[in-house]
Amino acid sequence: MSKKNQLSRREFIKGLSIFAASMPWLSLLAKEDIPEGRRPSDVVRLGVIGVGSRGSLLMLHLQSISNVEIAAICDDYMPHLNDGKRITENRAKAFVDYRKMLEMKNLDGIIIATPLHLHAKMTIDAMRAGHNVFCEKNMARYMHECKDIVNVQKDTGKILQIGFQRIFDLRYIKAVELIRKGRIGKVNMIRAYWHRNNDWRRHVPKPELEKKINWRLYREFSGGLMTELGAHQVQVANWILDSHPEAVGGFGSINYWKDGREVNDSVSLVYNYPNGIQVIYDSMISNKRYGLEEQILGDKGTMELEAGKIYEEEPPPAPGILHLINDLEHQFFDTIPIGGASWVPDTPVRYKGEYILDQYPFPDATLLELDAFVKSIRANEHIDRMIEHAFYASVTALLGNLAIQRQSIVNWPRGYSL
Amino acid sequence: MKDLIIPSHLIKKELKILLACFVVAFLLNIYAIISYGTSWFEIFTMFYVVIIVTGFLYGLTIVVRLIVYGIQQVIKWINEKTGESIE
Repeated sequence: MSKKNQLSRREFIKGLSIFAASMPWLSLLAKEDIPEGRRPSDVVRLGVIGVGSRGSLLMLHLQSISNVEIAAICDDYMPHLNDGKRITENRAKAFVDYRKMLEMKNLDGIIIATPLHLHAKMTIDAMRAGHNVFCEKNMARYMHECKDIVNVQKDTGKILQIGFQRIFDLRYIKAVELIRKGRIGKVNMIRAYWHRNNDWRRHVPKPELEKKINWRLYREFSGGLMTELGAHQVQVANWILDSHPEAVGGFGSINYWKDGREVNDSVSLVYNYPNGIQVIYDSMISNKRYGLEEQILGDKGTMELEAGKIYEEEPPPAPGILHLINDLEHQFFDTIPIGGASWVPDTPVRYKGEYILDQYPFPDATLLELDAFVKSIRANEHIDRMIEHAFYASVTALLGNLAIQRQSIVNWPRGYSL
Repeated sequence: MKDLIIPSHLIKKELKILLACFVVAFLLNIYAIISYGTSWFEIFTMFYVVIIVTGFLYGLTIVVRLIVYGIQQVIKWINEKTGESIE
């Protein structure tokens, strides 16, 4: 990462230091150069399990962080493993069986970017083998597995981070700071959605590889839209509301892509949080008009986090002369009402809002989360609330699936509070 | 092609009209700031609007002067016609 980028990020985060208690990972990101580690070279050596599309992207980011070496890669699908070798220019030791990789003693951490159903076993095996772990979201396929992971982390004391990168996104950090300061007043509702228009399929060279490559579409391996997309957004809701939901109800269906898939292509949920705050969530893959967004609705304003914008309920006044011109224009050209309407529709307020953060370009949040993982390893520091965030977000997403599956309101399960 | 010569008194006259338009636009900005209670910084930040309004007002004076000139020409023409018929 460039020095200039590091400096501006550090300065930005230092300005938010009063929030260090609720966002402890900020202090880690703001740290000056962490002292040399255990080895003179201070190189952090990592192993990557799962070097498909996401794993490859993580590797490219890791290669841009100074003093990080991808020492080992692992994948049981040869085309992906070969891609991984190319990215590392054959310098990483290649494995087909991850357990063999975990036997390497000179690794400082393991990155896991495999299909969801493998997260729990691999994370637990890696921590038990003495490795620090960064695992992609969702934490696990099932709720009880999330709990197992947290328990093993407590037993082993290893550093564990789950790939919820919005926690490291500077726009989101700034937005949460403004919300905590009361800029949009009391948050009473959050609406979030993620819409795409594609079949979510990848090319399968042989039919027998269908489930291996298109694992996202099968319940045995994937929680579908909620674990692949929704988890990120319910994590944001939990973060802003500083809580997990009390209950959830909703529906889901395969109403468009009827191609043999098992996971829903359309989901709609309502999460109920303490004090009666609702988070309304929906996701679909047959229309992309509205894309993705998290709308935070307060009594004094609204935030759209993906757009990075804030809208006051009472927009700031227009400059005087423009106001005057506008008034004159209305006086000359408006029609004179004889009998007024008894009701005016509550159409959206047309107001462009302001940017939450002026700084541009933003450092990539995935790069920042990996940088934080590397720093955690160097400093040998845990970020406790990170696990809490990951656990609650993962369970929140999985609970939504459970509500859809049961077609009933599901309460937050007992024994799932950290 | 014939050279077009604009006499200096005409240039001075047009500049005076333009200056007057600018003063009116500037005062409009001051009036708007006071009546809508907005920031005095708008004297600077809204300067571009003042320039646009100046252009608009100057354009308006041209239109008005053209109309007045047209009316004068019509009256002159009518007077000439009437004079001819009396003789």
